[in-house]
Amino acid sequence: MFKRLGNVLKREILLSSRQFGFTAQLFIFLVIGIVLFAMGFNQASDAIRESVPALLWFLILLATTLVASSWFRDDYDNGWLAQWVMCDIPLSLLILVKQFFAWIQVLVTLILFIPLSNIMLNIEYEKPLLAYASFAIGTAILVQITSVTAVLSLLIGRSSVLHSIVTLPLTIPVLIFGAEINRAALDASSNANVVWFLMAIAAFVWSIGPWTTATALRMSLE
Amino acid sequence: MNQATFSSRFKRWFHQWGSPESFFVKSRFWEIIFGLFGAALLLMSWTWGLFFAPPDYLQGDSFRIIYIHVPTASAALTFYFLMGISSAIFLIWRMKLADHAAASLCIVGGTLTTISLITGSIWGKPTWGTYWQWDARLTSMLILLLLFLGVAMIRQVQSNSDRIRTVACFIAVIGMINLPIIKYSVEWWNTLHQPATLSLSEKPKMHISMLIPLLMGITGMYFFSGYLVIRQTRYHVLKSCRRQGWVKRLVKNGAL
Repeated sequence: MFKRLGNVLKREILLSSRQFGFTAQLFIFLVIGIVLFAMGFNQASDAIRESVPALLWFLILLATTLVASSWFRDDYDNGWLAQWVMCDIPLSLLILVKQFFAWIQVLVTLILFIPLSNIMLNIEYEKPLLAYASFAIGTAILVQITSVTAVLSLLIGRSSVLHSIVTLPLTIPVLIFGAEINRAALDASSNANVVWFLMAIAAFVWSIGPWTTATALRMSLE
Repeated sequence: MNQATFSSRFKRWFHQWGSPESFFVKSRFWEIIFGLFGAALLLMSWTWGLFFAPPDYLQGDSFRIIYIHVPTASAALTFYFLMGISSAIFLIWRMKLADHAAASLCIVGGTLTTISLITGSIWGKPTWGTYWQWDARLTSMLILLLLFLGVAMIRQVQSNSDRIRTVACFIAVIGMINLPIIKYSVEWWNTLHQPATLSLSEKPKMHISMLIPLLMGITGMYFFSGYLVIRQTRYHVLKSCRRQGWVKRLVKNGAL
């Protein structure tokens, strides 16, 4: 069993190191979002700076929900998921592996994107570490929420708009707390205790998320 | 009565209500009772509230919309909870009836949420000076409406597919877990950013002559929307069982 788990791990590492399509899509979507948003503003005004935390988090939520519907699509189409359900390794463990690598891919995109967005929007964080930590924790929560709905969207078919409609209301806590932490990171004097809230949600979601996704997957393959 | 007989009795009761045929036959009585009782209470509450309750000392007559607003809001929250429970029952025991009930609760609950949001914003104009405020309670009600809409839209994709039912029920259950998290996050966000200048919780304590019609309205709204849910569920049962023998028998006997 452990040998097979090792093989699954090896496959996921190979897949995620060779699939640049996912990272590229996410990255380009985020950049286009920022460009279009900035174009709508009067360049002389200072309003764009105030909307930066909300803008960044909104774009990340939107981008993650849009790409998440394809996370399980390939494995579903070529029958890999059906084999997962039948093999002797616990399904939730396999899902956890899958989700972990999805998170890594999102993080890689953000590592490329955040410095660029800092330049494009003239952001200077007073506490940069806090802002980066909030992105990492927030996307960890997003991966869990979106992967449950992504598995369910396999059943509905290729309707990614419906997937977004269902997923986005569930991600509201991430948007609220994430933007809050970003605002605190921009301004050195403010209080950033909200980050513990976000961490608590992440711990909760990562402890029940794989199990929930596994249940949804089992139901979808029945 | 000892434990064993009680649990076997409960099981029998549960299975009897769970079968579509006996539900359809038995629910007729309760449908009428709920409908009549709810309508009577609502009529009494609205007549009392509109004509006999004294005007509010601050808001004048505009407060009377409370007799629609509060009952619908309270019933909407409860109905989301009930939809989550019956969706869970469907997912665990694969009981068709629970799914029909969840579908009906979704429609009725969404309607209740919409009514409470609209009456709330109409009420907001004279008292707060604005139709919409990003207040914690308003925002979390709006999210409730979005959750209802999401579930209803999934059901719209294909009305008679077992997969779609599973997805809709799953989303309803997840939404139920997420609802308190959303509620508290919205409250946090609100208190951090807008000092509560206008809060629903700071309204003056109600006089008994206004409170009694309100309580009657809440009870009446629960019963009347319960009536709507039973009616809708009966329709779903009839629609999904239309090719079965017992429905044909009912039609032949003229019972429908």
